Amino acid sequence: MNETLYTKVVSLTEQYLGPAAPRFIDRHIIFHLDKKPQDITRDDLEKLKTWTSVSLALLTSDREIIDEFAAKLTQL
Amino acid sequence: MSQKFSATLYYLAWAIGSLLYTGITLLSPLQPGSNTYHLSLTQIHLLQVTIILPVVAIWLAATYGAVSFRKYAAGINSSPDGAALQSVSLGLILLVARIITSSLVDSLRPVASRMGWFPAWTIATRYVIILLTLVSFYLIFQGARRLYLTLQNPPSIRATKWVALVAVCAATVTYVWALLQNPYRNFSSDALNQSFYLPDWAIMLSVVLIFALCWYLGFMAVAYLRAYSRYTKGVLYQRALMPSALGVGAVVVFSIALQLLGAVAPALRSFRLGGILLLLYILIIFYGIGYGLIAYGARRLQMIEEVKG
Repeated sequence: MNETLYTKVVSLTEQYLGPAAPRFIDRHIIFHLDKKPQDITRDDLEKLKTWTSVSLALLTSDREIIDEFAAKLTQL
Repeated sequence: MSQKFSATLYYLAWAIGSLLYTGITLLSPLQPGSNTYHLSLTQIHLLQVTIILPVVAIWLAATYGAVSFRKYAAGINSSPDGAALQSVSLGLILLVARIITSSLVDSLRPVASRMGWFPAWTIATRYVIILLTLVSFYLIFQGARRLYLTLQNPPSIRATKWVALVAVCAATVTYVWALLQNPYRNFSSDALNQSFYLPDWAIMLSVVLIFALCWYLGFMAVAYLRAYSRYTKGVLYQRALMPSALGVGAVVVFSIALQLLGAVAPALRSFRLGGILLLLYILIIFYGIGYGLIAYGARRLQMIEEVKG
């Protein structure tokens, strides 16, 4: 179940970061949630959304993309 | 697991190459009859400096671009795209080595001529340059193709292959025609004349055909990279990758143009000095811009790999 959620998160992120998505998500889960990427749960999604949104804001000034990603992440 | 990367060696190689090139160019004896424009020694040295400085600066820009890309690729080496990008980055490094080596070889012409081993030196160094060109273009091609094959639904590039073949045939015909206009291509007792010191069949098989292969690999590398950058997933990743993809394309195309121009170099002697310098600077600037784009794209891609809020 947890692995499926992780796969969904990576799959969503791939729409924005392509092949860099797994590395991006793994880094954020390990650094900010202090757990193995595959152990991510729905309770972690809000915190993950916050930190990934901050990171995306450093990569692009396109607010639309950042908000779209955040909205899709919470709907997973 | 990412590879540890140190740029020191590359910049050290640039520094040594630049010092050697500067020293050899300024200290080499002038070839008899080379002062076509009847300049004084001071004027010749000033002219040499006006060429050395931008050339060395462009080498630095090219080194920076190639090193930036290599650093990014080394950081993601364990992933499929990382391994492919490593191949491209190594090819770019070797292209920089090629252009520096080529200039060093040219600067040693007067020395080789005076020492009496100009023909053997010409043959040996020409094959070193050809080998560097072939290996660098092959690595860029292989990496670009591997990137293309990571696409889930790669677009067909069959038509592009035919366009590349036609372009290579046209370039090869031009190259052969230019070579055949050179009466000194097989032998010359004067080092000022561009000669291969090889019979025509050896020139065709070991120079022309190899360059044609390099050009095909180069064109196809650009095609694969273009397809990858357009069809890979990730809107932000695409935007970050695009400058590097454009830069690699520019560097490959410029390298091909440089090789073609090398064949028509004997004809340039009838041009005015200002025209020759302008052409040289334009080519060098385009080369530098290509590597500048590569560096810019690599830094954006690097940010994606490093950012964590």
